Amino acid sequence: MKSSINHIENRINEPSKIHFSDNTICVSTCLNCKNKDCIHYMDKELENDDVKIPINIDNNVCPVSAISIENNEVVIDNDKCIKCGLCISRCKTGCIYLQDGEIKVNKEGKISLKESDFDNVPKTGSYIIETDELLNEIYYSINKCNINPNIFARNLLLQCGVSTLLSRKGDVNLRMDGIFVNNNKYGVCEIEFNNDVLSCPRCLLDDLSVLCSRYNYNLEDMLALVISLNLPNNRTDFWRVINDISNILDIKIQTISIGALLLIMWNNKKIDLNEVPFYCDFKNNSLRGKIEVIIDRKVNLVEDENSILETKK
Amino acid sequence: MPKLKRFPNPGSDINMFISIFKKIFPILSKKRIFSLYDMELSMIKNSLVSSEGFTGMKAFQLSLRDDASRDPIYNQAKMYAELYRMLGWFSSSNEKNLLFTITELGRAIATNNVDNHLIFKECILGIVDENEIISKKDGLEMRPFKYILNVLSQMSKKICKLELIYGPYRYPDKEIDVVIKVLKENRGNLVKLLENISQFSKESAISQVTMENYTRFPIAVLEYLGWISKENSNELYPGSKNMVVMNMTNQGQKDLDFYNSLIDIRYSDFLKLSEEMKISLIRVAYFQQLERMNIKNNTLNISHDVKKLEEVYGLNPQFLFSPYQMLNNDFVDKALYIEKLYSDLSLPIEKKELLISIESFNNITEKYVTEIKFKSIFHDIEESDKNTEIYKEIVAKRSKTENQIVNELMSEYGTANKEVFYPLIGDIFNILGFNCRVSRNGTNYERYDAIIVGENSIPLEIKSPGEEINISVKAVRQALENKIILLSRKTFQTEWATTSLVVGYNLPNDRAEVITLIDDIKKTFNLNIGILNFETLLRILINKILYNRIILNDQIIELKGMVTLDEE
Repeated sequence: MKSSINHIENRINEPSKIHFSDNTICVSTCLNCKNKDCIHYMDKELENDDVKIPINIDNNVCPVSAISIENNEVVIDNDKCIKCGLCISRCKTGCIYLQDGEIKVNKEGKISLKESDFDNVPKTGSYIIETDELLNEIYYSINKCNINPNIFARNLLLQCGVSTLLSRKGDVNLRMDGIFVNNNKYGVCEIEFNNDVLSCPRCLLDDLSVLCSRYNYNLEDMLALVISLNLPNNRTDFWRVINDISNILDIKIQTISIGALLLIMWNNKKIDLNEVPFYCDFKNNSLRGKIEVIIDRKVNLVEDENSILETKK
Repeated sequence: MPKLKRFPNPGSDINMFISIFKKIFPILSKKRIFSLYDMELSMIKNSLVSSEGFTGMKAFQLSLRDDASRDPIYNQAKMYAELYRMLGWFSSSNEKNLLFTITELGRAIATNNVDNHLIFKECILGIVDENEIISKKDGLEMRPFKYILNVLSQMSKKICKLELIYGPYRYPDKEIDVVIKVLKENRGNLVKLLENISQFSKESAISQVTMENYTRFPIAVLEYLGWISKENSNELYPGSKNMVVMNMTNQGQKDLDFYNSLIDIRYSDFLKLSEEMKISLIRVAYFQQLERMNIKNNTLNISHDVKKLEEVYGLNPQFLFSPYQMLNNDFVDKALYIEKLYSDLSLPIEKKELLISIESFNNITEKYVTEIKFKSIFHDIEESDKNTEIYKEIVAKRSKTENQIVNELMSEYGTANKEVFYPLIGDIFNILGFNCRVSRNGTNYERYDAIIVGENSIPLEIKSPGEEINISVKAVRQALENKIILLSRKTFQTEWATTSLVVGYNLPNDRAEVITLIDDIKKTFNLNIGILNFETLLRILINKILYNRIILNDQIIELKGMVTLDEE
């Protein structure tokens, strides 16, 4: 009887290894899947029957469209690629990997497996190890290219286990960037890559009041999340306002940076926002300890020029 | 008059069009014939549209207008209906009365889980201009998307928007050689091309902007199907500034080669066939169309029809022909032996049946407009307040009417920046008897722009006309934040119920949305946000200074929403 796949072990600088129930192992290779999870999300992954607002159904995985199909093969344009690793995370078989600064697809070797053999197979290990240099490069690319921050943030949240829907662009009356569902709780998120992150807390209050008043969501059961490229620095009033809102309205607005989401995703970890793990205010606005708990080891970033884990003074 | 191909512009989110169709299908397919109002209702029930921030029935109530052409949801439904008709998923039961039915092709697409790109590719290439379904508007015969691809392929696989307009948009597709010749004559010389287009615009009485709008949808389609990639370049017209150039992809060429290999059936070809052959052609072509979309059809047995067609078209003929996009729906259904059953036998909804009351929405608005009354009470004005510019200005204008003074001051301060406007508002509140302090610039900790200090301190969010002419939801959000900060940091004494004020130049443009947000905030957080516009403040001030009429400050303390002044 053919043995089943036990798990996929992500590896650094090489394709993943497939572990079978009979303890055999083989190197993953591209199966040219029919569904192309590395390129597109399926409609059902981007919808939620309980969320009744018009949503943005852009289903691209790659925030810069660097991955495509040519002559029925998956190809990666490394000139466009920002090395975020979303395609690696999405790849069912684990054949996509980062090596020598390039994202590659392993097409060598043949495995007699079908796409459906990989359904719901867990992934272990890490596929990218963070360094200051790598994060600097990624952030440089993000700032340089014409990335859609909402799609990027949504996809990172999805890969970290948070079902996220983006509201449709241009609707001036439904102003939230997105709604997420995490372990049966609903939340709103504001995504801000520029200096206007200071407005996010009040935007979240607007979002919450609209949902509670017009759509009968229960405020006590709602979560709120700011996703920023860099954590706001200490000189802004952002962290104090978070504290004020917590004091007065008992709403704990969580804040996470794109870099922190990348670290979680690269280590195949999921997040539970219900536990409010990312609540930070002016008394304690470091994400380092929180991320280290999730990935279960020390984070290798020392300089953190991009304020991914700590704020600048 | 010269002709020009016209495309509707339903937008560029093609996945959304398909998704909306699949969602409205279950309700609409139950009826034999439905109206745009049926479609509107179906879209709203599926939360596919919103109106003024609401979805569901509330959106419908808010959208409804006496004049349907101003009803935003009705117009969206009309736009989608036109698109679905073009794609062969709707058939028009009565074109004039905008009544529709869903075709068998539409049913197959809605009920099978097929890749959107395959569906769209097949149906886009099925569009052909001479047909029994849509009245001809532009008088040009073509299979437009195959035509555009062929032109693109023959123009070194590159084309720009202007060349689309000047080329395939102006000639039937049987004159493609003329198109290529004309475009090649113009390529490289942008001045010449623009002159020619300008001339054509005059002759056809269609503006260039309108012509360019007709290219939006096709370009969105070409991109969606992976047939082109876009780049900014002046490669086609060196020496000119960069323009968007569409480059044909390998996929585009591959698909074009395939569809060029099929037997392209036009309406005139169809009419020449015998009745028997027409039926066979419909059956075989429809079967092949479904097959190319990966839709299995186990009921259609076409082997006999294929044999008949081979007598005319040769061995194993493959057709480019979409029966539901060319022929009358009933005729095609008959050829395919389709018999439909409908569970909803009601007639299409007419507008007069839908005059649902919006009273509940009106009630919200009434709750958030406070009438402020004047009282004639002896009062004094502090000497320091009499030294302010605004006081002196009003006194100097005392011979004029209230309206004249208001108009002059509104005009004078109509472009004031914050350096002028914030202290002005502070002065006005002080003259009115409040203890108002304007925050110093750069004081991060004092987030409000000014504050009325007292037992019930009121933070003010001021928007000068230089920042925004009309008060917006942004200001309401900031007022909410100001209140929370004040309650938390306790810089000044205040109560939960005390208002947080927005003071701006004009009332909101979108009054409904701002008032609704104030209501949302009240319901969710039980906090009051009030709005005062400059004109109202000026009137209150003029009445105090010149006419000995004042308002009781208590009327401001728990203000929520807007203010009207008692006219007495």
